[in-house]
Amino acid sequence: MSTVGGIEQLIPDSVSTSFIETVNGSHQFTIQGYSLAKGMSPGKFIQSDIFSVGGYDWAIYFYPDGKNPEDQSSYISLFIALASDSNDIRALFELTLMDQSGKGKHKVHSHFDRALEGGPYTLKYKGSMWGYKRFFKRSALETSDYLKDDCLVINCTVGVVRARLEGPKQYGIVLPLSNMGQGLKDLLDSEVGCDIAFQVGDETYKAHKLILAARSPVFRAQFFGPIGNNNVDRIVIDDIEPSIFKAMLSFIYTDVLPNVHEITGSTSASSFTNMIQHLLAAADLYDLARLKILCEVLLCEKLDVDNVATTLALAEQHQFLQLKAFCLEFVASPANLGAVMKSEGFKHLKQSCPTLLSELLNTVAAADKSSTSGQSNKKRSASSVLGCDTTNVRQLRRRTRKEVRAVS
Amino acid sequence: MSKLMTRTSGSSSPNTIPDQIESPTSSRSVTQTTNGSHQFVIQGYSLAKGIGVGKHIASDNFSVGGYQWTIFVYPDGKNPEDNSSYVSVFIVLASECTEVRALFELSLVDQSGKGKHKVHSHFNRSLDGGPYTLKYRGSMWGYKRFFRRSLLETSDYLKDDCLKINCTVGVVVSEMHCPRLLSIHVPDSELGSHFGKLLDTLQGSDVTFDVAGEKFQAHKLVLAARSQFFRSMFYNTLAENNSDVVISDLEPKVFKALLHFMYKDSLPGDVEPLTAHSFDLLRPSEIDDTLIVKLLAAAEMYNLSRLRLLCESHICKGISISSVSKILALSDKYNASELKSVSLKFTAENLAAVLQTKAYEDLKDDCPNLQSELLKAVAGYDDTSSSGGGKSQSVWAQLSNGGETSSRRVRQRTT
Repeated sequence: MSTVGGIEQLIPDSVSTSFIETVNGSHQFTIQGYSLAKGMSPGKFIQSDIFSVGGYDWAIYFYPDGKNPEDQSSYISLFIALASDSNDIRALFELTLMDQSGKGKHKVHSHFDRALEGGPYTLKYKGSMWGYKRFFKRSALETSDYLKDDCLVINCTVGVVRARLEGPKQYGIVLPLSNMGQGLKDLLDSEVGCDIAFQVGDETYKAHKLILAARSPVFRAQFFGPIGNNNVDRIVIDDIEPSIFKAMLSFIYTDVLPNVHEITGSTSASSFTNMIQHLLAAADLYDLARLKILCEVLLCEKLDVDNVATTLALAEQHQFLQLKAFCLEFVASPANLGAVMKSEGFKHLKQSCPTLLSELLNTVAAADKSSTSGQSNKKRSASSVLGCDTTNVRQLRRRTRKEVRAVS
Repeated sequence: MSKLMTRTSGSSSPNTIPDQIESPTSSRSVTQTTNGSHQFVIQGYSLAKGIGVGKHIASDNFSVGGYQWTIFVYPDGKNPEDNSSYVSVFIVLASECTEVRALFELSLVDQSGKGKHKVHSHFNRSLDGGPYTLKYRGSMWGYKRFFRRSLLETSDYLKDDCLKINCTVGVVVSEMHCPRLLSIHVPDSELGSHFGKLLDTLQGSDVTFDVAGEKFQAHKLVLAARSQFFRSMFYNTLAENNSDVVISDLEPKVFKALLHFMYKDSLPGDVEPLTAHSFDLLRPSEIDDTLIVKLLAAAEMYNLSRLRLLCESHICKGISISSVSKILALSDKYNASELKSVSLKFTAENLAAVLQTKAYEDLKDDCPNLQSELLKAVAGYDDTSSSGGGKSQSVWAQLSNGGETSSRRVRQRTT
């Protein structure tokens, strides 16, 4: 890296290169019977066969009496014409009249190996030409080595300009995402090698101690720790619902969140949020860091005025700081505050977490400061206190408090 | 990528009077940019000249801040009024989205080594009007008069007919404006690191492998989860309770690399790093002797499809004109289908050059079947890309190299 005027020159994250180059092709045009071609009159031409270069068709035009009447047939003219029905073709050209004596003194007009001041030539449509009206003085030609046995040989080279973009991964193999979890999930589903059974409500889930220990510090301590019991083969879980435990187990084996609607059997938004809240609490209990973050992200996505208060209470209880910050920000916005305060969850929040009200007011004030709009009337309504349904939050707290009891 | 963050915040302490709420005297706002950069190299500037006013050369797309971007260079300028006196450069929003706010930096690289780059930048500068807003796909920021063309063509910015432009985009992200914006970062999968710890600590290991006298301990469950071969070995109903396994068809270092993949889902660190020229000077037998190729063979043997792909992807980095024929032979030998496909594609696009190599002569003798596959690749390449003019031209580029040769011969005669 280098520094220019205090600006750090970053090493780019990626590179692409545009190669502007020419696709070259050649054609030889032999005119046998030059003396019979003379006298055609100016502007009349002999055309070569059509040849292809760079995906386009081309032809050579030979004017024995010249193209321009003003030259009074003093010169022969030579042109390369675009024979394709195409527009704005850019190309380089070379026209060579061959020395047929063997001395190699060819007459060459060429774009190649020459500095291009104005860039390549552009042929605008079918029939456009590049070449020379005064390619050679006719009187000189007829006594030169270029004419032999009444024969002229013309070599033509066309270089069609082409741009090719090359990115960094042009020759790479795209790797699919890791399928490590699938192999583990197959073990879980097939129950091959299982050595532990969890009794969760009316359901029994079999699993592998080694895999649980690798993925969760709580399970590691339980099965392999100094005070753990690695001979246990059955554990009763009584503070987590079966569907939550199943989802957590699926995550432990695959590292991805299972399809929550599939597990709950419901497509409603509120049961989805409720499920994720419970799953977040379970993730906290078993110290599954990534599952916690995945749940927090989902809860943030699903925040609405009806569920934000219960989510905020959960975040406060378990100290999910990012989720808590999002909830406070959501509640504090002018569009949401009034509606949130009418929700059932908010009524309980006031009773169970009074310190959150203080933080909420600070957040509202901060938002007021930045948006310079008054919200004082809504602040006053915060003083109202009413009872509310506390079933969900109380159940959640009770469940998360209990320890896992081992039965052997 | 890096993040620039500015934060101002205030907080109030609890007041002794319970009914009073004290408002803080400052506000809290978190605004940051997500930065990314891209280098666009233009090789063949003299052929790009004369393209026409308002006509551009586009870079590849690159990602910054969740959006796609591209660089447009106008060799004859964007504005007709400038009469092609200036080169224009713009950064274009390529994603289908609205109202993206960003900071930009465009640098024309000084290729003499003096470091006198031509820089236009929003960064490290006070923003009088704030960041620039791109309203929709195709919106651009840049300069119609980025550089005077006559000066450019005699400057250190042009070297071997090549220009280099560095571009940095900083997408503005502000939580105050997007209250529901997700800025919780979800880390990558931890499966590999969690099971990697098992391999490192060997806690709970229950099987020992003897590989040419060297002992490796492992966990049956992990191997069974990762390989049908080992699952049958350890958990088949007919399987004996085997805690000691002899491996006779692999070298210890290859088996160790295999275990690394089983537990961590990645290649180990001692696999040879490869560049476009790593294989150029190696003989096929020397290539076969590398750890990566032995691991490819082991992946084939133990039917580990993802390990095979990892190996193929790694060997891909070694593709060059000189080496592609050797890699083609290798891919044929070890049934590396993805590697073969990429090698055939590369060869088809560089046919004339590859056919000149010594490695190709060897390939022709040793693997005659590959030549018919190569012909299919050339033909198929032309067919599939006939709609894209640019791609079909590249086939012409190779096939007409003979024409170029005769053109050179003509030039020699004139001397």
